[in-house]
Amino acid sequence: MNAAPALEIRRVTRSFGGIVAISEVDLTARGGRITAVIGPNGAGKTTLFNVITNIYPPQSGDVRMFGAPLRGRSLDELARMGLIRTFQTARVLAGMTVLDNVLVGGHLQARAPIWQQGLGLPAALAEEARLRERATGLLAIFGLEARAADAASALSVGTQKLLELARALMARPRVLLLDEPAAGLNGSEAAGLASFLTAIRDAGVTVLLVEHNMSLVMSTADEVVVLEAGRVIASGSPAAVRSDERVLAAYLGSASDSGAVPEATR
Amino acid sequence: MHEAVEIVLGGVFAGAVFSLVALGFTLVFRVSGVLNLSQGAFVVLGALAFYTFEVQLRWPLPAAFAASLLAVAAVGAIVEVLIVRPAIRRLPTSGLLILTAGLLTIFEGASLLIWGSQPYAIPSFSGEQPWLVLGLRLPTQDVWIAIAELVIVTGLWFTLTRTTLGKALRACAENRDAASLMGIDVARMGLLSFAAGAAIGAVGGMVLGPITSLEFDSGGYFTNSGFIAVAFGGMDSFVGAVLGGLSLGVLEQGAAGYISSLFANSLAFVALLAVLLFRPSGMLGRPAAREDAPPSGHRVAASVVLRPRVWWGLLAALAALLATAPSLLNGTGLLQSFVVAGVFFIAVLGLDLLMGFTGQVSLGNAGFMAIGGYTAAILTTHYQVSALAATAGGLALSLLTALMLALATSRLRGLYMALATLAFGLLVDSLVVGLTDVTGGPSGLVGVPSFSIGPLEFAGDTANFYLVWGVGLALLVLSWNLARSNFGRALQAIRADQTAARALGIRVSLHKTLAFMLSAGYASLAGSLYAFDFHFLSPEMVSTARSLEMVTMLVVGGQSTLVGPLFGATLITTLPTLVQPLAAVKTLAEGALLVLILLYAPGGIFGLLARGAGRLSSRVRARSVREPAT
Repeated sequence: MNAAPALEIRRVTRSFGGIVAISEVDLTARGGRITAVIGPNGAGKTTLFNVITNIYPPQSGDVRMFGAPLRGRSLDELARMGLIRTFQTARVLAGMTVLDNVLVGGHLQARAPIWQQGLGLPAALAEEARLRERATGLLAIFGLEARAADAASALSVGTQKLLELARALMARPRVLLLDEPAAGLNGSEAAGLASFLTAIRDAGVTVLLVEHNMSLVMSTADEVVVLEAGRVIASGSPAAVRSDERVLAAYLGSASDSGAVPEATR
Repeated sequence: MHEAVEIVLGGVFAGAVFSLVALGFTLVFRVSGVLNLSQGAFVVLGALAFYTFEVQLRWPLPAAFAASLLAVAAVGAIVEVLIVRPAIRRLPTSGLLILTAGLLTIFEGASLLIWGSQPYAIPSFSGEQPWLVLGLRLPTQDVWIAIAELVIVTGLWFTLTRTTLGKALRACAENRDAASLMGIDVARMGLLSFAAGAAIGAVGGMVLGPITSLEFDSGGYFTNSGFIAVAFGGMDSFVGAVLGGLSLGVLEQGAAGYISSLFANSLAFVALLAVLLFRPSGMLGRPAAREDAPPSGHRVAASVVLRPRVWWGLLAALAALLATAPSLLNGTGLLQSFVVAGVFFIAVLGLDLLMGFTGQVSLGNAGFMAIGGYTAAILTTHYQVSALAATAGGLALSLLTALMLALATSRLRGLYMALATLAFGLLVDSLVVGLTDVTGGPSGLVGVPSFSIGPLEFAGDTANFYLVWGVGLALLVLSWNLARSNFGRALQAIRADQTAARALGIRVSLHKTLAFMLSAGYASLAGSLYAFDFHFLSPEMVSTARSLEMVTMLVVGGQSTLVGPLFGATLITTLPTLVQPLAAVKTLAEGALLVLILLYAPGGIFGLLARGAGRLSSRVRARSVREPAT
């Protein structure tokens, strides 16, 4: 039993040339739960992800995963620790097929040494067959099996987001950071995504979710953290956050972010 | 003291021409973002056009000067409109670099056709009698070089800083998109910069012509020198280009005066590698971008790794073809040519893993052919080592060199990495020529024995054919296994998007290093086999020109397909032998083929064949679906 939380962010600050993107942010994502981060555009949600993954290292504060500090670790090191992220605009691998994209997600699962792969030894081939079977299964779950041999960059924006999620799951993450997974999805796809997310959580994966689609957040998240102007203004269960006056003020009060209003009041 | 002053002065004058090439580089690079490897060809074109107007047509000097200047500027403009501009929209940065290498080949091939292969001398502008200044003998042509340099530098400075046109050019250099939004005609600025860069190079060629004999393929030398100058000074700094050119001139003259003229080049390349490693942005340049941006908007050639059933069928057919080829070709005199094709197939296959699959351009892989070839040749001839052990020795040395180069350049990205491999290849070239005692120097190393494994000796064309293509097929199987494996997918992921690859746990530097070592190993084996087959190895068999030719073979055959190198290497090696009249236009045809394929058929021959086969099979399928209905 691991007592430390899956992801623990303590008093983290990051600024860009005098503009403070996130300031003294505290956030705890408990293991096996879905924690959603919401807030108006520019609140610092994506910056938070980039700080966790050291794309922009934090200037102060501390990020820990299952108790292990993440400071100074490279993106690929974090992936080897079990932290897998997706990107706001899906980064599918151009020049590769849909199936190969998912197989790249299995990079860390493959154990056969390179020379065995090169010589095509039975152990390497058997492992490759297992990876292909699992990747095909994941594609089937997301309804992409018919497109396995298509070029990944030929998929629609929404389908690319699903492919990126399938690829992330192929890596068997312990902690999954999802940056706006519903962006570009249509209504029924987003509804499907909600059931995927709960299934992922029920399989024991910790999910940290940045999302604008409030119905997705409210129907899946176990805990919601609200960011505004780089600070945490509220956190708690979806129901509690929904009725928090500061949250309503943050969304309704800022005229510059009218796009989020109908979703917030939905 | 006098000697030192004369060496420095000589260096400054030599460097003045380098800095003119460098200014052209910088102008084009800043305004249109293209690193134009054909820049040095304008120097040669200027000198050769000047020769035609002044000596052959007997025009007066000023008229001949003006006519050559305009002619070369026009050539630059035409090339920009017809080739470079469409390419900027279609190709990634690495593709553009290869395209300009193709342009250099085109210019060399065209000059060869027009002016032939002999060197030309132009009379001095104002007599051969040198001036005596403060006791120093100063050739008058050096004064003309200094005047040309001063006029161009002042003119360029004035245009860029004091005129509206200059402001527009600088705006394009800062940010093309923003300049375009401000109403600046970015395309016109690109055209202007290219024509001006060509004209500046031409002036350099014309003032240099009387004291250096220039011939059709001197363009590569000036491109290299100008490029070293630019790297010294900083890719995007005009002042840096001038200072870089001058310091390169002084460095080379100093090395030639005090050490040995044979090593003057080597020293320059060592200095270049050092600058690229420790200060890639140059003395005065701005720091280079850290991360390769994902290639958005530009097409990434899709990898084609054939499915097992198609693959094994194709391989069986290929093996059968190769098994019967020697008896079919016997007596045609073509067998030797197909052995060489096999040698280059091996090297280009390795290049495909690096360039096609990993997206890392190498312009210096023939350097590893040289290491493999010369190590094997020297160990067998001088030290009586067995051929197998000597090949293994060359392989080990190549892998070690590749490892060190990869580690040293791991901080470099994209364009700089490609330039470091070019510098490496040029360094190997100059060392091979310079270390005459060991390598036989320019005339080559003779008396290399046949390849043998114990008592089994591979003598004669047929035996070598089976040896080379046997190794080639084995490496093809290895490459296909790798391409279809976890390792091969990691390489392709790096090519597509390094950040996304990292986010999935891929160690990017490690995989790039492994891909680089693999390609070096393939090239090394190819070099060793080349030496054993010819019983001889000379510098130009494994020179940087060969590196560029290998890139052409890969692009023409089809990148990231593994099968493409078969077509590319065979076609480019054997076509001049098959069609004798082609030999004279070989260089021009190679350059033109490379440029055309890059622009209009990025999948290469393999892509065209695959598309044809796809169309055929879909037609067959359509007919079989339709038939029951009718």
